[in-house]
Amino acid sequence: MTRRFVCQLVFAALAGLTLLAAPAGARAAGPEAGPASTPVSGKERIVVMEWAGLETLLALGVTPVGAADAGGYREWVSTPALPEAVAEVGSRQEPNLEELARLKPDLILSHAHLRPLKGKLEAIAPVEDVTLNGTGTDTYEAVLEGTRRIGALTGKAQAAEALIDSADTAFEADASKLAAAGLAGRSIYFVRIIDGNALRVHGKGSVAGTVLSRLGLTNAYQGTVNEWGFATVEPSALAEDPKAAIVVAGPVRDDQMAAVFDTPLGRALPAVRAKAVHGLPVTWTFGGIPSAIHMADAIAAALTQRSAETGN
Amino acid sequence: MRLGLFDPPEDVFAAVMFHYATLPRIVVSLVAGASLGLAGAAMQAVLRNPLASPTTLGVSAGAQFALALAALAGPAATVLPREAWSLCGALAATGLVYLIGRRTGFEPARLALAGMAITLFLSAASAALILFNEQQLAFLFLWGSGHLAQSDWTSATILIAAFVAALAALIAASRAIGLLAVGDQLAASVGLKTETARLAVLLLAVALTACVVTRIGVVGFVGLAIPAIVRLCRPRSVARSLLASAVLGGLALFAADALAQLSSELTGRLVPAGAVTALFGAPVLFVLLSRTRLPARPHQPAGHTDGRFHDAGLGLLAGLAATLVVVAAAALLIGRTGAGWELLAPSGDGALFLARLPRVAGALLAGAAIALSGLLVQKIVGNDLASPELLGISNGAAAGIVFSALVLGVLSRTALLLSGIVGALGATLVVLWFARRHRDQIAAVLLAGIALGVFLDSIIRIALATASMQAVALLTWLSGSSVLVSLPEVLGLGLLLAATVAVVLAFRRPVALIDLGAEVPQALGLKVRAVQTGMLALAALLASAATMVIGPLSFVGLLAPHLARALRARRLAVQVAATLLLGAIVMTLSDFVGRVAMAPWQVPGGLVAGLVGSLGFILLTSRRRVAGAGA
Repeated sequence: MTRRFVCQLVFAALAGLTLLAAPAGARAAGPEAGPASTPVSGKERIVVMEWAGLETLLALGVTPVGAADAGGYREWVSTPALPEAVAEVGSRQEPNLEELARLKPDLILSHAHLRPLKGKLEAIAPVEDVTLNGTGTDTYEAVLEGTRRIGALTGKAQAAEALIDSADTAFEADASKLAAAGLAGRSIYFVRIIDGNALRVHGKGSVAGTVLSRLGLTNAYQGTVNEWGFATVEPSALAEDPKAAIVVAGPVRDDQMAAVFDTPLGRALPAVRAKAVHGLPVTWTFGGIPSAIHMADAIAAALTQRSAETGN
Repeated sequence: MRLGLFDPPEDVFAAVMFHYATLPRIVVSLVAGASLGLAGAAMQAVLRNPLASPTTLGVSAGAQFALALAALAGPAATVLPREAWSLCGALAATGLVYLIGRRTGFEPARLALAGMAITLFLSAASAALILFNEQQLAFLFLWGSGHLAQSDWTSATILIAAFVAALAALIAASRAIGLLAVGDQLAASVGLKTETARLAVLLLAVALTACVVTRIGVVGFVGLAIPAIVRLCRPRSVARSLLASAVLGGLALFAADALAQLSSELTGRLVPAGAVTALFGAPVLFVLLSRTRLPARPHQPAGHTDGRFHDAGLGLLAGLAATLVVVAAAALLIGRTGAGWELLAPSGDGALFLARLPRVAGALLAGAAIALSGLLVQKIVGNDLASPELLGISNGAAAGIVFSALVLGVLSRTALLLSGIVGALGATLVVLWFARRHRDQIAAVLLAGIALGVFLDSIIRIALATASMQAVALLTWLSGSSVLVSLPEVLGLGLLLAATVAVVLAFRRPVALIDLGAEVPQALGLKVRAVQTGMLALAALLASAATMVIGPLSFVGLLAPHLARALRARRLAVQVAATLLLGAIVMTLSDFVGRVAMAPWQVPGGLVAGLVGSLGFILLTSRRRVAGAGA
């Protein structure tokens, strides 16, 4: 009797293991067989899974049929404006595959952070991974490369180059504006407020870091950063460079500003004492070229406006 | 001359920082820790429950959830101060736990279980809130786990005032607390209004906890572990035990925050103190528990004492199977777009049907698997309150998977499953080793399991915070998302489940006997060790496979065997079948609801199951007790 049970057990275990191994093989074979390798150009029905890709598409004059978290885009990125007709396909972390399939896209613009989902997406339409942010490398380089790839994929290669050129032009214009105001070389902390005692400060490798240097400014934060180019710090970290101004990415409410900068500790920060804290309008810190241009313009406007007010 | 200590010169930032950030942070850590230790000690005394604490009675979770709601409501919520919202939430959660507890005569494990159920329910609800308001609630990640940074004396002042008031009141009431700690009969015999006194003390402890949560967020385990450690030193009076808990609690949180700041310094990331208390509090408690002989309490198996033996037969199974078919059909055929509901014709839209099939089937099978795992675990531990989720087994699987993904760089899902099994086995072995030593100690085993779960969970969180993005992306399932499941994986899971069920049914006599404890089966010639080890392997295998699909916190492994028992499925074969079917029904339904409820947005099925399962279990425990009391 016991022997039979043992036989059953062994058989069951073997069967289980064989079938566990099967999916791995099937998955490994998937991508090569899939339609992803076919060259794509001038696609018309695009669904985009991330905001940086979305703003790049819009800036190139391509309106996608669907986008992940379209509502969030309007609040946190806002420009270029997203037409109402673009369908929402769920959150950026977990897109709604059925909604995606219904849109019958001919290209899904995904990114490395959704790689585990790639097989599922490929079952719906050809997928291209274009990762603009969170690569752990120089983000702006990734943005440039990503913009060119998106341009190539949508048949808008020239528009993409024009967009990149417009960024260079904008950076130069803003830099000379700042230099004219005597702000060249000014050190800046670029932060987003999490709560009264925690901030995200953007450092090496972030889009904000590149924008600051292209504007002829110095990034005051030189500490370690994560793959997205920022570090979470306490407000006291903003006192390390006593000459630095603080620029706060928007949208930011007055009460959030007060929670950080209108406390006994906040009021003693060198930048606060020098009245050099600037709240920006909506500025997306993990975007593409449009966001970078917007960020540069906003920083230049905020700094020069303030120096005009306090200037003598 | 200015000393700079009490009146820092504003132009010397270091002086201001010392005065308005460093000093208040030290004070806050000491006073908040003391408050949690005090609150925990008072709760444990008046409830005569070593498992009671701000964390285990749902107090902290209730306060935190109310604060998250208030933060989302924005300006509308500012009519009341944050403390008031926090207190409302804490009172609501604790009130619910108290009501359930009163029906069960405040039986320790059951009360803690109700509290844990409510805590799990509220953390699932918080997770859902964060899912839909990621940017607005980003602060919850940090603040939610006790980030103690300060920029003025506000929090310190409020916490000191609350702590001093509560300490004075509790010390003044220490005689009443002492009487309640001995027993209600004795307390009543000397003229104490036991119910009123207990409620008053609890209210005080809850208010104190709510205050702490409002100021610094949830710092787990101080309120549970510190009074436990103090009790092991056998203090001579209630007042001394309260005082010792406060002092030790303050020191513990101070040390934890120092460590947190040190690791923030070293890693360049903000490490909240709550992560440290969970990491260290849990093992400390575990070691103390395992080294101490607790006074024995008679083991009372629930539901075996009424003398009658009703066994639901094939009728029940047929009914459940029919329900499952209906639920699965609905999940497969009904969809919801941004525009409205739609009925899918499989012949008409084959692509959509094929896209939906793997996740429905995956949820169904994973639900059945975790349910069976739950049943096996309950039989091994000999305790119907055990479950893979509560004993840290699911967390063990998750930790194993996270470890191999992050440290070894393994990204194939099959290899991850294997490492999940190893993690689950490890966790099960630890808990089982503990359970063997304390077989008659439901409370201790449960406490050890909870400690293990929290410990593993905090390791996972720390690991994820430092993880590379691809590994993080791979771990989408941690929230219980079934979106990644593929059809071959579903087939694998199905065959694995079928094989396990076949083994369990083939060995049904020894498996059923294990339920009776160690002596009886041994006397009947059963190799108890061998059977337990085999069952353990199966339970770990199932829990790991299910965790890959629905995440570690679905609660189905606890709920399904309970439901099966409540439906009077007693004979092992019937019990196994009913448990499998119930697990499948709950999980399929959860995944379906998650898919359509907020369309086009998706709520992970494991999250919905966590919400529904914990809520259902809360209701089930209270209802079952009412029926028992009426009979």
